[in-house]
Amino acid sequence: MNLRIDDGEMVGVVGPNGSGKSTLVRTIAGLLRSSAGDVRIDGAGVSDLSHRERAAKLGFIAQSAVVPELMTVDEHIGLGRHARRRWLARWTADDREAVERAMRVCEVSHLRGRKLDELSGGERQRVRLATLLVQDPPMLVLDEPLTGLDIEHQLSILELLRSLNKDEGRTVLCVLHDLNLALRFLDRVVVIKEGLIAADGAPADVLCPRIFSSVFGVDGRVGCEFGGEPVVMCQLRASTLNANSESTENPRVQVRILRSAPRQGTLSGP
Amino acid sequence: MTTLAGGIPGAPDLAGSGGRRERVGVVLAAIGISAGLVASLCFGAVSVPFNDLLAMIAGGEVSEAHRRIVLDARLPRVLCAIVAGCNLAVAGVLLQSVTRNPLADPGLIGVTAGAGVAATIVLAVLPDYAGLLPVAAFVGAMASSIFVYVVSWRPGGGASPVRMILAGVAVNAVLGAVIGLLITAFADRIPAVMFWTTGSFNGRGWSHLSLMAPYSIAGILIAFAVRRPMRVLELGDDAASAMGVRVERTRLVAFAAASLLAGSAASVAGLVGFVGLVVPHLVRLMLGSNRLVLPVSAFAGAALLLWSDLIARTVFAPSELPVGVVTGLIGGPYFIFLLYRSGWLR
Repeated sequence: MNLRIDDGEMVGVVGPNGSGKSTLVRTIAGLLRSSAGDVRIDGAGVSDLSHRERAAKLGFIAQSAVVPELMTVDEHIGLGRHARRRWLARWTADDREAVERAMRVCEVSHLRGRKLDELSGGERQRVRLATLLVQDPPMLVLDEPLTGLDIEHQLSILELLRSLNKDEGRTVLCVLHDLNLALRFLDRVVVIKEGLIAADGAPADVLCPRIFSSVFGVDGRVGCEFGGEPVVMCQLRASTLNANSESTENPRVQVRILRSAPRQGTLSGP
Repeated sequence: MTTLAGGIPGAPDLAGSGGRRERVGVVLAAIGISAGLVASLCFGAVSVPFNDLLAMIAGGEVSEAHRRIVLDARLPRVLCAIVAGCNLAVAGVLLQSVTRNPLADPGLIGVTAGAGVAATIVLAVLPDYAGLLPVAAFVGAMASSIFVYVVSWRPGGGASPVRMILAGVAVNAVLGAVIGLLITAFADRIPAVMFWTTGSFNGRGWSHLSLMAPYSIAGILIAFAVRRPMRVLELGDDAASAMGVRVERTRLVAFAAASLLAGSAASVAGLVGFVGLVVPHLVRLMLGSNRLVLPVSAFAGAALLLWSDLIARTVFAPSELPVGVVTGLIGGPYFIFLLYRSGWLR
């Protein structure tokens, strides 16, 4: 695998489950050591950098980030200053300003003083992004940052990432599953299959029928059927659909969820 | 699952209700330790009037008997209780954070069992060398905690919290069996062993304090030095590493500090349970945050052991209760009350 990411790019890593997306970004973030080859940031090997030097160049949000108990939003964001502060250094006006700015940019100022475990998934992800901003690395690496979020929060997180990319010039590398969102928000998509790069380029070019078939195992293409915007359209292959319908000998069970009618009156005792 | 540590020096967020609770917690802990110190010096088999205590501090005239009671008997004992309580509570905070397990305490990593085996060997097998008891207990505590760490360490992966806990459980089981074997073989010396294993400050003097002090000071300083990276570790290993924390080294340093603190406390006080496990939780419930858990736990642990020792030596004076019995009898129900009030048990 040979992957080069230039300053200011917004790159997505996509691929089927188990293809090695997380392994790739964790290796780039210096959390895993590669068995062969190396990862270089600005010419320096990631494994040669100290933890603090690495943190100053690259920030990372894990796929299954921990929600620390009893920690407030401001405390969480303040921890992002760890790599920027000397050992036993006092909390300075610069630190305070960095936290305030990150809270403004990520629109979490109204959550000040709230505990992390009281927030919604989308709010927590914004807080984690604010923590990354306080760390202030030029490159942000995010492993599935949209997992578990509703569509509104998915869009708002990607809008925020795009503004950090376009307005602040930060390089963004993120693992995504939703190809429509990748198509809409990313400059470049790297498709991974079995630990290798299957395709790399602009989303509309990369997401072609051949890649849908060979990497994702589905029939798919990019069309323009949603108000003129390009969208990904895909379905199970015809052969898979036929196989499924032939093997369905048991009667199909259909579950309907009905809204219960409001109760008329109440039960009362004698 | 809980992940806990100290706090960021001068970090933001002392405003709002959380800040008020923190301030109240700090004040309560300070009052608890100050009042306990005065009460412990004044009360006992012989009461020393508070005015005599003030006169002693101011360099005034005090009877020689009262001076000796306070300076030679009570003060070193009280200071031993303060240092041991502080050590055990801070060790508990560190271990609960290192192992990411809210049930962690010095017993979990083999410190208690190691000190117990060494003390049992001295008391039961080598009673003529009873003077070596504190040193032997400290060596036993350190040896077993080092063994736990080494067993739980893997090249490339370090000592994971889960492996640490499992290794601690296994070492505790083996050492517990050794203690049982020794007690069975030397049944006539059971009372001495039992009294030591439930913890006591009876007869502790300046020599005990000087034995414990260097390790305690080193352990406390290290604990405060790793307070900030330990807080970042609350965000998970990957996040902490990406934020500039050397995860494995931080965990090792915190483990070593906890071993020093708990080992030195056990060498002087015996096996006082409850403090390391429950004080950090009590403090967290009181403060409503983790930010100041380390410093406030240090004070609260000292206050708890101070008051427990006072009760242990005055309730049935001139006889003494083991201090571990008192910490359990007072702290257990109070902890259940706090858990109920906070909604954890409802």
